[in-house]
Amino acid sequence: MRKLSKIVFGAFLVLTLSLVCFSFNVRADTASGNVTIQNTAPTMGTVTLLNQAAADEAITLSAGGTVVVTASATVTDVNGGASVSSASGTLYHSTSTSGGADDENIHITNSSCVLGTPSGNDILATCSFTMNFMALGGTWTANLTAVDDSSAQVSGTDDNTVNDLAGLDVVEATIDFGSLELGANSSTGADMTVRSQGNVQIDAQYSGNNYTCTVGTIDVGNTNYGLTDVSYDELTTALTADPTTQTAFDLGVRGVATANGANSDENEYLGIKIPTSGVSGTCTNTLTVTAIADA
Amino acid sequence: MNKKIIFVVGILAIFLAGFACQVSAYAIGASPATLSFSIPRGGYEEKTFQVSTNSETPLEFSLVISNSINTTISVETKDKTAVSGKPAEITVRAYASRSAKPANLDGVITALLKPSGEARSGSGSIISTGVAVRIKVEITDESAPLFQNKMLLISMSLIGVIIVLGGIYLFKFARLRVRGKAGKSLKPKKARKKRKTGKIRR
Repeated sequence: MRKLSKIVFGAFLVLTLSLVCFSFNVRADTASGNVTIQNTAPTMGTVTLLNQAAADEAITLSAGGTVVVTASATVTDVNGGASVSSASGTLYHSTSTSGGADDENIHITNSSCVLGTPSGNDILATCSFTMNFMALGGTWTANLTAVDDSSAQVSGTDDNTVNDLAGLDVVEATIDFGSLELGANSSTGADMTVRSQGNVQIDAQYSGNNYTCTVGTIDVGNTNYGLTDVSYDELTTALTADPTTQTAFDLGVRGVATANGANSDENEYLGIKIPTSGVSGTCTNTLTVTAIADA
Repeated sequence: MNKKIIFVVGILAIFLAGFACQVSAYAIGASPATLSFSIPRGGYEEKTFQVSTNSETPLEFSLVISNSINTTISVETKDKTAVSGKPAEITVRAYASRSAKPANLDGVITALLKPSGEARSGSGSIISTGVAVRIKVEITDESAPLFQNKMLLISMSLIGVIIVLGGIYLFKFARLRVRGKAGKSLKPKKARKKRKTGKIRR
């Protein structure tokens, strides 16, 4: 009987210990990985807006073309650099704002800037902007925004200067006056289209040399030009060897003088008078058209 | 049949010729469009501008300085060609002589591209394009320091010091040689002086 009670007591003890151990195991299981770390918004270091040559100097545009400028900044997130999920940027003229609409003269948006490889809590955000020849001169501001996984964001800005650019091209490569008799003049002006390729209003300077004919020469002054399509005699300005500025030319900037995307053009009309004698065959000369910023 | 072929080829040739004549000239531009200088008499100042184009093939250009400023302005460039994405950089130096009078000068520097077209039917005007940069020079009533260039001043100072030191050395060397030839003692001056006063016994 005494032996039986010892066995029952032993079994009770083993069962009790098993239950205690089981209970500890269960408790340990429910406590693991249940900590929530609160998000901290990222911060941004100094933003640097570099020019087309990746230098911290004024931006110089390219006639009839584009240049690419970059703005970059180091973004720090104490939750880890990898938690920065995206970056975007705007580049805008002093006459616009960061939230303004895109415009080829004053506002550019880059909605997907490049994020570098995270290094600890830091990550480099770089925004590239393509500036066209018609982007206005003056102060431009780059505004960079970085967003983390929890949609917390940070922004920073930097300014730079865009230089004035005077530029043009002439749509036609040559002017053809056709076939004329001795002593005759071209009854209507030949059309030449001058196109703005810069970011300032320009005047045009005209000069030329004498026509060299198969036989003889025609004086450069026998060519008249003007801004209206009229007869030779009504084109009152004679072409000269030295450049003459046509101050009434006033060719405006694309996007400012025209709608966004539409070329800004000005027509020039030219006529010629053939001498009464001394020339025959074909005649050619060089006509030089020069852009100069409107004074 | 032959007439038809000649007719078609003729039409095609006229079309191609017309197309070739309509090819746009290349854009040319200069930035900044205006350069302003303010220099004292005897001084100078340098600034740069860029000549750019949208041509994919390098375009050669020439530079012309207007008469009104050609005694005050000089230009320098490594290369007088521009191509899309690689503008030519021009350095402009404005300078004024010490005898120059205060003045405000206006002029232009013009970059001219060579004509790219050929006259249709061999007759007409071939168009050449260019761009002019406005230049404004103010010669002030002040005088620049004699050596505006610091490096030149340092170099000149160093050369002066070397000449003086060299002169001293040569003078001493020549004196010693003369004394040696005359059989005189080469003892230092101090020792001779002391000997004369009797402070040193032989």
